Amino acid sequence: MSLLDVRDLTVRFPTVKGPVLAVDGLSYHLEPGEIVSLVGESGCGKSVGIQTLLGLQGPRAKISGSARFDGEELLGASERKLTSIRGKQMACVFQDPMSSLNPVVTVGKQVAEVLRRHRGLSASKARLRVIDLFERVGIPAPAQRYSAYPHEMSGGMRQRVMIAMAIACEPRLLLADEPTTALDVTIQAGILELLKELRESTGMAVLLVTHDLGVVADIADRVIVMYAGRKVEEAGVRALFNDPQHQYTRLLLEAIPRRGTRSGGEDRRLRGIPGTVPTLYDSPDACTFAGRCPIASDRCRTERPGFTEVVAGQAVACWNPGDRPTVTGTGAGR
Amino acid sequence: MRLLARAGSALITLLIAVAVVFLGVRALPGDPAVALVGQEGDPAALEAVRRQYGLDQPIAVQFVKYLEQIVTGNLGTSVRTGLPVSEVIAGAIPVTLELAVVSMSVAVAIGVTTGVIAALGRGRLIGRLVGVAALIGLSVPAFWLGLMAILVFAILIPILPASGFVPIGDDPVAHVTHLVLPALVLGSAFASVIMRQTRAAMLEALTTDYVRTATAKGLSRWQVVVKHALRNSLIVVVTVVGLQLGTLIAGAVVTEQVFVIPGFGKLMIDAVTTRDYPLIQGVVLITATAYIVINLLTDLLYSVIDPRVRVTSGSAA
Repeated sequence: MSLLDVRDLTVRFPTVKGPVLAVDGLSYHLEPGEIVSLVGESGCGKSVGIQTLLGLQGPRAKISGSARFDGEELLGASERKLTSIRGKQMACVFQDPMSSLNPVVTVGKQVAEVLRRHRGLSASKARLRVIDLFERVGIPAPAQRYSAYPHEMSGGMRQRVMIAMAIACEPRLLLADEPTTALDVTIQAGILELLKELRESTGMAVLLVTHDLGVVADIADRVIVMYAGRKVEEAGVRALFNDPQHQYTRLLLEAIPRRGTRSGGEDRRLRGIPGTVPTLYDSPDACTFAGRCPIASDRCRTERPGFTEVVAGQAVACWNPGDRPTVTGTGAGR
Repeated sequence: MRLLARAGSALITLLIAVAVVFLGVRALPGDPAVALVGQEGDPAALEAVRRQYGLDQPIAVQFVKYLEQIVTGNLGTSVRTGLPVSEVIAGAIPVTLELAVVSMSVAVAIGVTTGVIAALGRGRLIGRLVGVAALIGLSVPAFWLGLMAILVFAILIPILPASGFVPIGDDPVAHVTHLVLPALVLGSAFASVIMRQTRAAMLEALTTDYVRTATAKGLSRWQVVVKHALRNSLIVVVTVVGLQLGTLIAGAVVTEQVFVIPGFGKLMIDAVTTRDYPLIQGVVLITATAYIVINLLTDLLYSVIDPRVRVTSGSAA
């Protein structure tokens, strides 16, 4: 049995223009100890997709589908059930460590709260444990830091506090929602290293949401590429980087900035993908990427591609998997 | 250092307030000497009274003299009663202060609780009910509410005294029962203000990332609301309470009139209607001082609730 098994997750948010489809039939699974990355542009439904798992998406979202954690259904679970899972079995690290910590409570207390809640520790025992945790996540002078307020710490340190909070009860699954996006590159590397280390030492699985393929290459075992609320490709990290099957994945990889020039002497300018992620009100009977795809055919615009395995361990939702644009270099504009 | 600067600006504010009142009172029509001696008073007696209170001197001289007196703690002599102004005020202040503190406590208790309920129950019946109740509390004039309260609780169901004030030394039980209605009436409008501010602050706090973090930790709804959302919302509440407390001290006028309480508000009205210049000046001086002191205290309270305001904090980010 998978640790996490999400099937056909669909999330809609009501707006004045009608319900917006944020996640459209997303299915994936996660095994114990695995690091899986959900990748996609801003607004493709990645964050919503994982926040719904813990019921953090707010009361207005309409959710359907199934998400089983260790065999137990999470969607529509009682608040009581969810509070016993949150922070204990499944913990979260969020994107912005500046705003994710309560500004008027000391960081030590905020971490201690988790232990007091789930482990029933006394204040003094929780304090010792928190200092241990701070040390483990690489916060210098942990005992002094216990009584610091968030505004007295740097972004990287605050994110370490968030991680300490998340791992306090040794959860089996860590949901990391863009944990390094708000941080400097040098700090990023440290945080990723820490996550890997924690995976090794505790055996927890990590579901990492990011738009940064550099982060993915660094840490993930398996990658799920999302576009406009749908999963478009899923593969092992090596396969995905070596041989992307979906045009969106390929363009994402090409958009990674590299330094210097290519061997052919061609100028390496920054590349983007023309267009933006569409806001969907209905699930269209088409490939949602067709509008931006360099090799889209008529079929792509009238029929939704199913999700099929092209080679072992690599699956894609595309009518022309693995194809390349016929004229090289015109696919991606800038 | 910051406190010193605040105290300095407070002093200047106070000086301006004193000057404005001093001039304002003298710009009003009516002669206090006439008020004292009577319309058909003997011109010689009028002259004597004017000289006695320094009213015959130029305004600038009167002002400087007045300032000198204030500094030495002498607020002058009440024209009407002949008693020292400081003594008259000192007699009225404890009464009003007690009324204000009790009303404000009632208002905070009711306002914060209902504000939280309104925020949590937004879009549901309970949230709307609280909102309507707050609007009523805010819109109903104090004098009407006071009269209705007297009608219901003192006359129809005579469980509380209708008016008056009993010093705590005379009869502690009567002291408390006499305070109940005025405190409720005075507090109701402020409860509404606090409720609305609490509700707004809570609604904002509930959407913040740190509240999401608190929820993701597995804390119960109650813990999330009280320990995380409410604690941050209280910063706003403290500001409102601080601002309103000044208003309460000066603004118990109507309530004190209705319930015949010998407090500061009643004193103020009496002073104005009898053109008791020294007393008016003293009353305003004390009111201004009260406002300024309360503002200072509010500032200090911030730093207790919000650590980001503690500028002296040693460690840096």
